[in-house]
Amino acid sequence: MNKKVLAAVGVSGLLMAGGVLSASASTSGYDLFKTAVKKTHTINSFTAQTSASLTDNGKEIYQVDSLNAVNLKDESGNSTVSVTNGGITTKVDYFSKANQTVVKSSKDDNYYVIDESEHKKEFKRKEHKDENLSPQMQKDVEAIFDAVTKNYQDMITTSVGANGKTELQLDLSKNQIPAVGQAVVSFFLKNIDQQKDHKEKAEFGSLQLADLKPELPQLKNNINVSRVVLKGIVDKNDYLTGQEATIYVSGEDVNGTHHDLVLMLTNTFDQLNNSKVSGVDLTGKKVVKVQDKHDGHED
Amino acid sequence: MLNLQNEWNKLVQKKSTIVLFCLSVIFPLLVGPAIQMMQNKFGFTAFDGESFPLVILSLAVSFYLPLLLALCVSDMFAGEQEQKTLSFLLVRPLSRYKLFTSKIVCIGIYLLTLLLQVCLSSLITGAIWLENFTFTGLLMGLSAFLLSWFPLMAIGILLSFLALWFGSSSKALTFSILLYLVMVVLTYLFPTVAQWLPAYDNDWYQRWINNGINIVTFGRTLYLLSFCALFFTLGYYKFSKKEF
Repeated sequence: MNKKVLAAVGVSGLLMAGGVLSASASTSGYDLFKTAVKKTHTINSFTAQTSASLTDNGKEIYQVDSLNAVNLKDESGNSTVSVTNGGITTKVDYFSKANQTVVKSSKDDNYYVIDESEHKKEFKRKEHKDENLSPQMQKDVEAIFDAVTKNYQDMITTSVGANGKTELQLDLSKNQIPAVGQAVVSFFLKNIDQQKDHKEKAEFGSLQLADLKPELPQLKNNINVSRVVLKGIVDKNDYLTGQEATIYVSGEDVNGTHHDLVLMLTNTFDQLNNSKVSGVDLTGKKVVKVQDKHDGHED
Repeated sequence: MLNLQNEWNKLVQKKSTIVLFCLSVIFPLLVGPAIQMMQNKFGFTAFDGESFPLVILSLAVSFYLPLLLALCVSDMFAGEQEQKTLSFLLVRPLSRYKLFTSKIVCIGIYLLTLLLQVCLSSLITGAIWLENFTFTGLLMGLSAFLLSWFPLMAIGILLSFLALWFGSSSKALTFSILLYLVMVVLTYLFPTVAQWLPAYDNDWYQRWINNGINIVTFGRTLYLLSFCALFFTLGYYKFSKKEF
């Protein structure tokens, strides 16, 4: 091999290594996010404050706030949910233990109790076990996730805030959102009227689950997701304590009116691993037993 | 450039090249209306005039163009050796460096032609059939197609280096396709290994759209350019030492 060829090979080889290494060195926001997700999966109990709101052309049409205390170890939890749908607010309390769920709504004084059969509990537990992947599978899933998101990883911006918390943000404009995402969202919005045919039939006295569903404007044309903003807060112990997603959708309804829908979801975790789940004392309360409708299908 | 005209003429006068050129233009033109019909029937909007060229591009860079590139490269090196036509070139008063360069440049022009054909026909389809076709979309589509030239060219140069080791075009083509498939699978299973391979950057136009110029896009650009330089040098060395 003559000297010129050797020199060219050497120089380009070095530059190549430099390029790859400099490109792979700067994905710290993404790495922090992965660490935080893995660590947050290990917690046993938490208090979560979740809220969702939907606005149509700047007017709020739907708002849900909930405060949940969950203990994953003994599968118990309680939550308070308040739903504002078209200006009317409904408050619902849920208390759940391993095999019993109690629902209390602000619409009446009854406590609705759903007892789950042993069989179903067993089924649930099995399902739960399957969710835990083996370490090797976890690694493979992680590698595939890395590859799928490789063009987005270095878009995550990080900013370190007060008390050691780091804020991660991913802001996607219309053309950065994958076509699959666009397709799913527009399909869903366009076909809402078909979904209404099989409405939620479950009801607890005067509380009907259908009441809690939002009335969306019927979009027909030009539906697209114009922007998605994802945020995450990682605390100094690498737990993912806050999540926020804002999704902007625009489209036209049958009359040709333009709608800008904004869906905002936020979630904050608190009291990790030392959250107290409060039970409910049913003595002296009006109790209504509710049959679990799915049991008939399973047996 | 000496011999470039010759190489180009040989390439475009092949029946297969003409057929592939036509297919590249017709495919987006047919897919556009078909998608529009499906979208109306099932009620979803995955593609509009703005994103349609990018969707076609993502299909083209991951399957169609690498295959065409492999076909062209295996014909140009191993194929000519097999048909014993390469010796006619070698007896011309041209250095082997010039011959090799003209072949690589010819591959580059062929690739650019294909990209522009797909680009124009998908832009036209987007403008005619799909809603929301914008000027920004047009500019973005065009630059995404031009950007895709780089990673594909890196694959092309790698394949032409490897094709020099084969005596027949069918063997070179089979090997190239297998190699490309392996590179794609590696991207998903072992990204740390795959980032040393050019197929990792096939969809790097998305990186440019997302980030513009930052340290990562700069790093990947440097990588692709030096990858081209490395395999161009190795390819030339092999070509100059090879006995036909």
